[in-house]
Amino acid sequence: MSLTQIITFIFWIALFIFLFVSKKNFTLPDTKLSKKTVIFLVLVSIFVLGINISIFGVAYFKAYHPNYEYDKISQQTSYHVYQPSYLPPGIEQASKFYVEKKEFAGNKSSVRSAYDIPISSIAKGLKPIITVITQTQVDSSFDIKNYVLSTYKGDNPPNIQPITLPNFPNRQAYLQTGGFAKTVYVIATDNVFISIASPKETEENLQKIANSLR
Amino acid sequence: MIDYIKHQLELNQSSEVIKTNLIRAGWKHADIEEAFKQITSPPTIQNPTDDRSTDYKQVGNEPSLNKPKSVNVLSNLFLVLALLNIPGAFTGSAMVLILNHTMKSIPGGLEFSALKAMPFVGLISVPGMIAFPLLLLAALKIRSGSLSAWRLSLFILVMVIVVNIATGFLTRSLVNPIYQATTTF
Repeated sequence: MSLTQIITFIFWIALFIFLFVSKKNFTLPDTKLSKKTVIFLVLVSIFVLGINISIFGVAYFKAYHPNYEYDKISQQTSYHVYQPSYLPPGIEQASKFYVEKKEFAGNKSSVRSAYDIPISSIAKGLKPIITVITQTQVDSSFDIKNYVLSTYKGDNPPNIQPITLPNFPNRQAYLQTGGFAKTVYVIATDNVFISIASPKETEENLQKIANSLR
Repeated sequence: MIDYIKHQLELNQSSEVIKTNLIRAGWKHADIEEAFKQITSPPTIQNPTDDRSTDYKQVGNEPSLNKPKSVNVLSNLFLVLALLNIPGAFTGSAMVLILNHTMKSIPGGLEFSALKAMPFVGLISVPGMIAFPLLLLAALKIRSGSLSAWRLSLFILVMVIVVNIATGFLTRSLVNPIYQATTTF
């Protein structure tokens, strides 16, 4: 209990007792509240209700109709930003599209978006299945396998195998397994390098997501 | 007293009832009759040194000065309780805005997404939202010193207590499973 709650509780009790003790003193005739008082009370009520209803109205609307800011980020980048048209059952977009100012594939920034189970499911105790899509534009000479191996610093190199993605025919596409996260890498026709990584999602689902990128 | 009688007459209260109330409130019979005479007879210029006219000024325009102190004390207590409920009326909104600020600081954080996990946050403000204006009404109404104002104030107090306790239990029962779920990670 907070201090305010304790003080309020003491007041309740004191007021309750005092109200009963003083009942015999309430013998005067009833008088109506003046117009000014009524207007004051109405304005106070409208003010209190108005602020709360406005804040909660906007908050609940934005919570259930999120703006992923795809258009805003697309305008900020010189390349096409891909977004998946397929997500595994029970998975939804968990973040906005945003620019990550960290080195990725030789570029100083990339566009990221995250996908996960609903936050309400996490609150119920289900474990997250987070998937992160990172994308940036690369040169036509960019080699995925060399890049992945060059970024790995451990003793055991990751297992990288080429895969075929019907959505990106004749393009470099790889699946990396064996590390902390499974990752699908692909270079789109417009030389946008896309990585789809998840520590929990299945390889099949990662490839389905990659195939649905538009 | 004159204003009080005028107000009661405007409310179609009978002279007998008004006189009875005034006597019960401690006014002298002769003063009451004099006041009624003044109201019913055309206005006359009074001698400023007239003792009776100054008596009315000293006693007050209505029997409020004769109200027991406990009535005013109760009114003030209701006012304090109403003021104590102001923070409660805005706690939920403040929590939502703070949570949103935290979410916005996370890269890509979706606005107000925490509300999807805790949609009941809106409940937190309900007791304060109800209590603040109602307690203010009780504080102003109880000043009349009437039995009906006493009853209204008691009803408001009981309602505020019930709503506070009910919302407290409801919020706790909704928060606890989330707290337990999140602490298992």
